[in-house]
Amino acid sequence: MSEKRKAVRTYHRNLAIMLGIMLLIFVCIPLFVKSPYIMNIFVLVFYMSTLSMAWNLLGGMTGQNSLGHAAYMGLGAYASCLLITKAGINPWFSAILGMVIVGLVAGIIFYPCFILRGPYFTLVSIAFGEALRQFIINSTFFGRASGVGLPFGRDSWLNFRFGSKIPYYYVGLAMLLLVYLLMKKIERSKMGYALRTIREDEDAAAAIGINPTRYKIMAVVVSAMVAALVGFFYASYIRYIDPELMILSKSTESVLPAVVGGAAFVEGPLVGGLIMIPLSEFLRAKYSSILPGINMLMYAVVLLVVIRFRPTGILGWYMHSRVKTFIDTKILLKPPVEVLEEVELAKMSGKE
Amino acid sequence: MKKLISILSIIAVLATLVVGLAVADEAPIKIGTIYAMSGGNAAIGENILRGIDFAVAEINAKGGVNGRMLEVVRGDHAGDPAQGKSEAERLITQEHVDVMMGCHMSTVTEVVAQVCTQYGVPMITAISTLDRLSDPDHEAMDYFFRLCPLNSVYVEDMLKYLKDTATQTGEEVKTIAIFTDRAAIGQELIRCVDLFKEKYGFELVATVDYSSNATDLSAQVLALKKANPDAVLCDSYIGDATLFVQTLKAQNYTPKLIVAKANGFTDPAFIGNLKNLANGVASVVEFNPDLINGMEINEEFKAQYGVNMNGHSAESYTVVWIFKTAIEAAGSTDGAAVRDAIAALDIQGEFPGGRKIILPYDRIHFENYDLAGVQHYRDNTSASVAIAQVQDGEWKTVWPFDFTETKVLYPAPLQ
Repeated sequence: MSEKRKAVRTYHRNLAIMLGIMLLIFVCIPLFVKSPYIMNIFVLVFYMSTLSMAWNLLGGMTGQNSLGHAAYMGLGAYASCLLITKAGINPWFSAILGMVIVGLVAGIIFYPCFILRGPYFTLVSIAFGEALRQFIINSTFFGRASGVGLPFGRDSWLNFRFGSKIPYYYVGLAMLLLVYLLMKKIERSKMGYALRTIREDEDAAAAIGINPTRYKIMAVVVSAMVAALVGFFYASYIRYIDPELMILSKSTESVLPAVVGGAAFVEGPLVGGLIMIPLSEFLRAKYSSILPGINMLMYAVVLLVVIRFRPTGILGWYMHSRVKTFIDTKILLKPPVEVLEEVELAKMSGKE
Repeated sequence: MKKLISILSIIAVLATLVVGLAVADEAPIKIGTIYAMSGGNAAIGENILRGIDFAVAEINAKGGVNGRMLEVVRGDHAGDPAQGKSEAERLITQEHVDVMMGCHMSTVTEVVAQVCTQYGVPMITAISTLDRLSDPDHEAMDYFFRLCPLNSVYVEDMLKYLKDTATQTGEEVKTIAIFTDRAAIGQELIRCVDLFKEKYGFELVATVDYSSNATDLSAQVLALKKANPDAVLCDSYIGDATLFVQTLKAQNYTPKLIVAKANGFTDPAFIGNLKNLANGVASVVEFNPDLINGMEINEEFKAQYGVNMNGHSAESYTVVWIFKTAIEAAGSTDGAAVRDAIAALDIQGEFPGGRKIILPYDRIHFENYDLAGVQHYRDNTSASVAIAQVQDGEWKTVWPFDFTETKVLYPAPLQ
C-alpha cells in the first residue's frame, strides 16, 4: 500500500514539475519574443481561452449550452468602460464592480429561465444576448451604436494602459491562471459534483437532494462574472468597444476552444485556445490576401474534422492515447489513472 | 495513407515557406491596407481595393515614388475591431509597411489608427466618416489623417442642396422629415440634422425609424405621409432602401424631394431592384462618373474592371496619390517625416505629375478647425460631396450646380 502511495506521490511531484516548467516557459516568452504581432496572438489566446473556460463551466460542466457569452463579456466591458469614463473610477476597481453588476444581471434574468431545460435554455441565452445588444444600441447612456472609447494617455499601471504588449501579456496570463485554478477548485468541490450530476440527469440530482435551480444559477453567475472580467480585459486592451462585440458569432467563438479542446475537461478550453487561435491567425496572415475568406474555410474544415473524428475533443483523445501512456511511464515515471483511483479508495477506507 | 497525408502536408508547409521567401525584392514602398475582404462587407472592400490597385499601377507605370515601386500589402479585418488591431500589428511589425490606409468601418478605423500612432506609421482614412475620429479625444492621434468629409458635412451638404433646389424648382423647402435605420448610421443622421436644421431654417416635422432588415415599412411610410414634409432625408441599408421606395409606391405617396445619405441607396443593386421606381431619388455621392473631373478616369477604370468607379474607389485612389506626393516631399519613408509632409500638404486642383483631383472639390489640405463648436484635428477641410439623382435609371450629378449641367427632376416621379 505504502509503495503505491509513494509511487503516486512521485507521479504528482513530476507532474507538478512538468506543469511548472510549462508555466515558466510562458513566463519567459516575452523575454525572447520581440514581435508585438506574436505577443498579440498570445494575448488573444489568453483572453479567449479564459472566456471559453467561463463558457465551459456552464456548457461543459453543467450541460447548459449557452450562446450568450459574448453578451456577458460585452456587458462587462461596457460596465467597466462607463464606470471609468463617466464616473472616473479606477479601472481595476471598475473591473470588480463590472463583474458584480454582470453577475447580478445574469442571476436575475436567468432565475426564471431555469424552469426551461435543454435547447430552450440555449434559445433564451441567444435572445438574452440579442436583447441586451438592442438595448445598448437604443440607449444614449451606453453611447448607442457608436460605442465607447477609453481615454488615451501615458503608460500607467494605475490606469491599466500600456503601449507595450508585455503588461497585457502578464495580466492576461495571470487572469487565465486564476480562472483556471478557480475552475479546478469548483470542479473538485461539492458544487462541481452537483453540476456534473445535473448534467447527467437533472431529475436524479433533484431526487438525491441537489437543488438544480440553485446550482445552475450559481454556475451562470460565476460564468457571467468571469466573462465580464474578460470583457474588462478586452476593453482595456483594444481600448474601444461597440455593441457589435455582443453579436452571436462572438458567442460562438467562445464555444469553439472548449469544444475543440474537450468540453468535459477544465483544461479543454486552454488546449483548444492554444491550437485554434494561432491557427486562425496564421491562416489569415498567410492566405487572406491571396484568396480572401479561405482562412475561414480552412478553419471550418479543421473544426469539422475534430468534431467528426474526435467528438470528445483533443483532450478526450489524449486521455486514452498512447501519447499519454508514453508521457506517464517515461517522463512522469509511472502511475496514471488506475493507480490513482486505487489510492483514492484506500484513502477513503483509511479515513473510515 | 497516413504517410501520404503527412508527406503532402510537409510539402504544403515547405511550399508556403518558399513562396514567402521568394518575395524579397528590391525594397518597394509598402502601403498597408486594412479592409473587409471576407464577411458581410467584402463587396465594399473590393471596390476600395480596386481604387488602390488602379492608382498604384498608374504610379508604378510612371516610374514609382522617388524611383521606388509601390507595393500594396493587404490585411483583412472582416468587420471586427480586434481583428483590425491584429492585422495592423501584423502589417506594421511583420510586413514593415511604410504607410497605412483604412478602414471601411469607423469602429475598426479607430482601433487601427491607435496602433498606427503607437508605431509612428502615417495613416489616412479614405472613407471613415464618423465625426468622432477627429474630435478632441483623438487630438494625440497625430499620425492619423482623414480625406473624406465628416458625417456632419454630408448632412450639411444635403441640407444645402435642399436650400439650393429652390432656384431650380421655384418652390422653397420649409419642412423636412427623417426616415432612417435605428442603427449607428441613422443615429448619426438624426444627430447631424439636429445640428444644422436651424442654420438652414428647416422645420423637422417627423423622425421615423425602424430596425435594420425590416420586413414591413408601411407604418413608417404612413407616419411620413401624415407629416407630409416638403423633403425626406433618409439613410438605410440596401434591403430597407428598396423596401422603402416600394412601400412609398404601394401607399401611393410621393414626397417631392427624397435625399439619401448614400449607403443602400447608392448600392449598385438599388436601381437594379427598383428600375423606374427609383427615378427621382437623390443621394449624396462622393464621386459620380459624370463629374467633370471624373469622366476620363472612369473610362479607363471601367475598361479595366468592367464597372464604374464609385465613391469608395475614387477616394482610395486619391489617398494613394496623397501618399505619393507626401513621400516625395519628405524625401524618405521615415514615419515622422511623411507625417509632417502630409500635414503640410496643400494640393490645389491637381496632383504634381498626376491628374486633377477627381472628387467634387478642388483642394486637399489637412488642418485643425472648429466644426459646430467642436474642435477637430487633421481633417481635409475642403472635402465635400455631390448630390446625384436617379434620372432615366442612372445616377446623374445635380449638385453642386457648378459641377454639372443636369437639372433637378422635381417633383420626384418615382416611376
